[in-house]
Amino acid sequence: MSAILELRNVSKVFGGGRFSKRSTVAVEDVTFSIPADTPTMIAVAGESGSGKTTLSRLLLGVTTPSEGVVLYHGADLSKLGKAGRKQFLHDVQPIYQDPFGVYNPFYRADHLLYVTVSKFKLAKSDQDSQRIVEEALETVGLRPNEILGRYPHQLSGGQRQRVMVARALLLKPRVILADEPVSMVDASLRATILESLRSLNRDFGISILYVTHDLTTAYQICENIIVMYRGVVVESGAVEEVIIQPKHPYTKLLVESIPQMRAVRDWEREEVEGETIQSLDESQVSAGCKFADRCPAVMDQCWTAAPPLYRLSAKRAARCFIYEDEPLLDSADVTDTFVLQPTAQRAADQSAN
Amino acid sequence: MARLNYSFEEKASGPILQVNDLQVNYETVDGAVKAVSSVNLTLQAGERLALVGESGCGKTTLALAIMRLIRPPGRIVQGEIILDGRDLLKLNEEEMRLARLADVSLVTQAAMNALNPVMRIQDQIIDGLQDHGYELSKDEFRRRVKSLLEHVGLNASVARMYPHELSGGMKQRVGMATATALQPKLIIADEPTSALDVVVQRQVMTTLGRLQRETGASVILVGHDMGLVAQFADKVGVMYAGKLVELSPVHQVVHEPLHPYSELLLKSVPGLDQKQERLIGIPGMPPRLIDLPPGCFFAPRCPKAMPHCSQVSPELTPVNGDRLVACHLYTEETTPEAELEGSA
Repeated sequence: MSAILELRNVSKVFGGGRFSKRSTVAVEDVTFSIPADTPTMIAVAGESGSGKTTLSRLLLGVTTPSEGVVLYHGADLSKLGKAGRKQFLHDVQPIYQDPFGVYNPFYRADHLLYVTVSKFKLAKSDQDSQRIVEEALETVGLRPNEILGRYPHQLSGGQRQRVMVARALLLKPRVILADEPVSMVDASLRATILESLRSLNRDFGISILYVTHDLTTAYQICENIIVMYRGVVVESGAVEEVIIQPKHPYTKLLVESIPQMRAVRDWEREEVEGETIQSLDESQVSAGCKFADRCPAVMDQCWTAAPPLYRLSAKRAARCFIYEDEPLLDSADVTDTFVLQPTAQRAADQSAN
Repeated sequence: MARLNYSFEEKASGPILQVNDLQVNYETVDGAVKAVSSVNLTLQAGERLALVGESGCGKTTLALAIMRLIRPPGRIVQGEIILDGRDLLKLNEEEMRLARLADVSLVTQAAMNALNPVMRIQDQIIDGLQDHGYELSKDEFRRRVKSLLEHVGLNASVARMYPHELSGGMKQRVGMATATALQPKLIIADEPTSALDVVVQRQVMTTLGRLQRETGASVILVGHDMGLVAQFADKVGVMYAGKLVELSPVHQVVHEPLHPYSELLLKSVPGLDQKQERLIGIPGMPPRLIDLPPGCFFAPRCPKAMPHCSQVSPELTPVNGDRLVACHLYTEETTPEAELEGSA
């Protein structure tokens, strides 16, 4: 299997330079890849500070790894030549969290789209570029006449975010890195935007990395998931396995914390308020498993040794000593736990439905 | 405890808050933006009400109006906000300032920004107490702060910390400790967990629930996460374009929403029970509040709209006993035209 983007044993440490003793490990020894031949939707989930945004920034090449290497089509991302860099920018597109911050308020909102068209020479003439832009807007469910010529402040948050999706689409990229694309919009728009992301995956074969803290939407739109905690991958695999029957204690905690609409007032009945006030004292963080201080199933060895990723099934791996008897995950590459469906197969499935 | 002379007799039960025909406008050069249009609302003592709706539906404006925190160009045009027998809109600025925190307090979306970065947590809480006429010794104040912090599940050592030393969830709990410092009758929580992740969100909401039970205060929770609302509220008020379109007990809204808007709003929230083929948002956009359509504001987006929906504005009317719905679907008897439409 060839990969379009690959992280190989990547770690990222912030701080801890010459002038500061304190350093923060944002991402620790992560290996995974986005396959080139089978477009998939991968969720990266975890709480704030789990390193999920750093992970997406590493893939985007805007953060350089402290250790390990990020590969684009097998070549080191940081050593790409000019042409390779341009191809990379064409193939990999970001969508950010804040649909307000990415616009220059002095330009019309469509400026962003036309600049993309001209920089990448997507159109031969002005009419051509107009047509391409309108097509992209329509694909994400916007009416061009409601967007073109307007200033960013005249658009709603959802419209602005969808213009960003349209911009990513203009380039027909291979990969979209979407970092919390819907955390700032309401439930109705969230559904609309996520649905447009999913259709990009289905209709254009674009792989999507969906960085989120919302396991419900991750389950709904993605096939695979990586759960991170303080920089390490704690569980990975198919969403049906990881989210529906979580195995790692942290994933279990996350899933239990999802407010379930149908189970009215269940929280109150349970009231199992684990007093998990985060310790600010760095010395309390265990030398072994990073989750040890919050883990309900903590064992002695967790404090001293860091657990590796164990392979629990063909579609799942978890980093926890509870599963000590299981085999290790080969070279800790979490991609091996993903469910990947070749495009032809997906098309067949869809027509069967 | 020494309260200032603005205190009034305690009432055991009955309505604690009554909002009558409240209207809030934002005045702009193009005309008045009607953020809240003729909202009527009654809240019983100890009741938890959640206000839900899309962004821009007026839920935050309504909450802020109850605190009388609407800033120009916003203006409360008309109405009454009767909190425990007193119309807040008739108070002067000083009386209102004292009523905030003592009678009605606010937990904001971004508690992190509400805290003073250069003051220790205890000093900020004590400041609030002193401002509302508490005169205690230093030790007594500190003990009080300690007990408040413990109530929200924080370690007493937090009292001497600065805001930057706390995580988002801890800051939100400090916000709740402050909000309950004077045992207000009404706590307004405006999306208190939207900046937090799920694990912390659950802890914060459970804390808020416990505080509510312990103090017996009423709570208005403003939020758009229906899952969260289902975990917390007794009653749900669904708002659309500045109007209350449904007000029902939470069980009933979740399992059998009556207003078509409530139904669509619920459908847009995916669950974990089954994987949906498509995620469905509500089609179309909310109306511009500056030129609202005649009739029902939701009619242009409503899949069940009938001809007279775009002419006659539906009133909030009782349906099935304790539910209130503003929709012509449930006033069939009065309009024969609708009956035909409904059976078709």
